[in-house]
Amino acid sequence: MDKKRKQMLQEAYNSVPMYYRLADNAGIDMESIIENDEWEKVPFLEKDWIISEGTSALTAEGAVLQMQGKLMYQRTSGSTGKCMDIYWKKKDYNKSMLPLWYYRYRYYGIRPEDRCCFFYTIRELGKEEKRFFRDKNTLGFSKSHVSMEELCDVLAQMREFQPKWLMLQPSIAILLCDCMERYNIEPIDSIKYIEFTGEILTQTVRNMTIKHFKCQIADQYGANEFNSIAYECPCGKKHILSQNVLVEVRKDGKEVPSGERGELYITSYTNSVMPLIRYRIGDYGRVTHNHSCACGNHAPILELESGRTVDYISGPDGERISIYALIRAVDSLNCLGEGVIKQYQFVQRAADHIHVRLVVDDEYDENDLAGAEGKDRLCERFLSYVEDERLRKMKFSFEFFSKLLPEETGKVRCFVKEI
Amino acid sequence: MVNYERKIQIKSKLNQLILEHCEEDHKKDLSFEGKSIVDDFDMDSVSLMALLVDIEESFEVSFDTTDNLLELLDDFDDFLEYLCELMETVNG
Repeated sequence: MDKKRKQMLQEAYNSVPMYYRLADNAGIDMESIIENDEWEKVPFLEKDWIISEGTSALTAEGAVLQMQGKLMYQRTSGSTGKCMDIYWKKKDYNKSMLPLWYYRYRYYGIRPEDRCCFFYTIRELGKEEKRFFRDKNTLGFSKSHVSMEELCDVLAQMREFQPKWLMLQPSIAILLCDCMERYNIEPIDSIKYIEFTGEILTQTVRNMTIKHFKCQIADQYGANEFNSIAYECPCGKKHILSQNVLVEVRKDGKEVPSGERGELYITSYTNSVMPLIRYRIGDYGRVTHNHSCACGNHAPILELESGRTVDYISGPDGERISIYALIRAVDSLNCLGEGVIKQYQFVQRAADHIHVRLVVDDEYDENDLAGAEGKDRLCERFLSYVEDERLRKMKFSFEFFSKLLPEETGKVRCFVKEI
Repeated sequence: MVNYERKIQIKSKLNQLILEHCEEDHKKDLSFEGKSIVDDFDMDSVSLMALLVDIEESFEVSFDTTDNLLELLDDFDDFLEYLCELMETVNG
């Protein structure tokens, strides 16, 4: 066990209430584990546990800073349909982002001041999301406004803005490519690089993007819990950002040999207020340690075999509608309502019918969710945060649960299509 | 080993580059010894990256991707030593 890992274990298990309880439940003596270099005995961490612990997942310092409002935090839905709060000290957050920036520059020549376009789920809490916003060298577009007509306008704005690179989810890239194909829109010459994130990137999407944008592309694997975990080099290999995280692959709880498939467990090296150690992220893959990648990076190579899939709601006229427009409604409710939605799932039952399954926090007073009236109010508010016009014309039904059960993968899919 | 005068020149240039990228409050700092470049100058990841790019270009060096930049940037003195060694390797 290296010095960095020992120090992290010591700090976490000495000052984070969640880890005291974890150690108690597992019946372990962390001092002994650290002294004897027994990393294998350090317990694994589940998302459900962190969600139930809330701010008890913070260090003592972190808890004080959180009460003082001095921490950055993200309250997001994630790909599992379970909502979790992640807290960062600003300095730590910056540290966690630096390795990705460094490799963007080293591999693809992307400098921090280069113009960039990206798509966001939520920018303005609640209603009336701006369709785009501009800030210094970035131009962002709302994922709630990505119909074919709106995308024509997006591409026109991009052409005027002349970005050097784009940050996209594969599902958004498909919509952009569809638009370019349908309306015979030429590539934007200024774009030299596209970075994919947030969803599984297939070869089909790669090929489609290269065909329409004619630029370099790279895949980045990350999570709100850690920021960036692995990043694709020009040789097409996703190297783990070892300065930021440790990635382990386990099967039935046991370590697997290099290159074999298993479930991923991630440890953060950079978050000092909410340390996540051996966290079961819910994804599967392989990690190869001994390799000679031509890019010169010796960090282990990750091959991901699961993650958020590219999902679309099918509009009545067959048009693809991004599910981010619905995820935004969840995020809005959670940001404004202090985490009222614990879990969610969208089910498309018909071309014009979306069924929403929700697990809510019954202690959320404003809605008095024990009663039908409270739940009705919540549903109305949810619908008020849906901005995509095509979705607003659809019928919505709601159902409340105490828990959504995971599938065989261990995850609850956030979107299911029954048509 | 870089000679003392050369090291002073490198240090002076490095100080200047840090001042260009750090927040206003720190522009009055006269000495960065003992400080963490990552933590003590209120630079976000974009500014830190811009600083690294400027350092590479100003000193005509290239950081080794296997080096742990976060650890190096955590201590100004260590980073200065690293930079001096790098320049010695590049320039002879």
